[in-house]
Amino acid sequence: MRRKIIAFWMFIVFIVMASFKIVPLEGADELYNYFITNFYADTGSNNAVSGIYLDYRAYDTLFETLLLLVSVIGIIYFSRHEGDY
Amino acid sequence: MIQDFFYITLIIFAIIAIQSGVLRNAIIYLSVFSLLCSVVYLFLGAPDVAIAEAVIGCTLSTILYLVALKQYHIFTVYYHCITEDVNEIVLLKNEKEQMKYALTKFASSKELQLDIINTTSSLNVLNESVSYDVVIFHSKQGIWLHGFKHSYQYIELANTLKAKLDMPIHVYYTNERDVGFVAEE
Amino acid sequence: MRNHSLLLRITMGAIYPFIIVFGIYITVNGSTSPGGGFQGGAIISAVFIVQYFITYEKTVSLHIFNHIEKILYLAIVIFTVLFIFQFGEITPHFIKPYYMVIMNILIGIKVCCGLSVIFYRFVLFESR
Repeated sequence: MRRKIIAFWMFIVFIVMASFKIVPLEGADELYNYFITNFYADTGSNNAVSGIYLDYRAYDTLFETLLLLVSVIGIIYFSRHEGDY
Repeated sequence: MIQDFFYITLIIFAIIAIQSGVLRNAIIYLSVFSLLCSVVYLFLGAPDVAIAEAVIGCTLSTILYLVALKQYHIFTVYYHCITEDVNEIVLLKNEKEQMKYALTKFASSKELQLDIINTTSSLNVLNESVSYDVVIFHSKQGIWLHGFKHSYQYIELANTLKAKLDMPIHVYYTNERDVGFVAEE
Repeated sequence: MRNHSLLLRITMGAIYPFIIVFGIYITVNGSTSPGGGFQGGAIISAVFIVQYFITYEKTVSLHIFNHIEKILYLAIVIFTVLFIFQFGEITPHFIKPYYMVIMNILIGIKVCCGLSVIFYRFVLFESR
């Protein structure tokens, strides 16, 4: 019974959220237009995503790769048994 | 139009994956969900994200889930009907069905993948040739269970069978060092 | 696990070179078409997963993969930081594509090593 009430409540919340426009997209227009018009002149890459990923947000990429390295180190640490390295 | 079709199928597969009782099917539904998700990303104009989703969500994570499920959750039961007499086998068939029902209930409550194998070998032969979780010997006098003492699932299974079935059940423990078969990694 | 499936082995063996070529294509062309280092590296790491399904043995040395990943992370950090410090805002326009391609390849090899290590760790060591 409790699960059904929770499911009904989630359904109402979903309907309410779907009927409103939550994220104001107009605020992001300026940045969007800037990247679309200037990315080739700034980064020299034909792919806008790659230009943003490797040039505008280069430090972000560094720490993203660090994230994978840290997760690998964590997995190696937790799955260590006798005799493995 | 076709975008709406993909959105609706996405939601349907998400609900099926949650509601599916069998874990192996749930993994496959999740994989299909990932594939549809990647197609939807393509419609929304993000091909980079679509490639990443197709590789990571649809391939790597599915294989990892399947390997994990294969290693952990198969519960192998060997069933041996001792009697040679045909009439007795027919009589025992009803009891066998009851036992199968109880085993299936137990497996689905513990989220195990049940694997019942009929055999005619003795316990020593089974010890040396295969890896098992439980061996069941069934005859007119009752049921003999053989399993490993440190396997908590075996102990729970024995208790469940004792509670569910109304026939004499004898529980035995196999020593770990008697088993000649070592499962290959 | 003892008996190998013949169908799986032959099919995977036929697909094997195409996976490598596709991964390298996505990695190298990341700056001009959809794709990039992460996606390409993930596809190349699928090669090692296929290798596991063909042989069921540890055919790669995880030790070496670990070292490659650590060294490549150092290389990525040093390369990016030095590049940005060297040129800054006034980068010559003809150098940028080479920077993109080199970064994509480095990230691709690093991600490939990392995902392979994760997979083999889970399969070989975590499953007993």
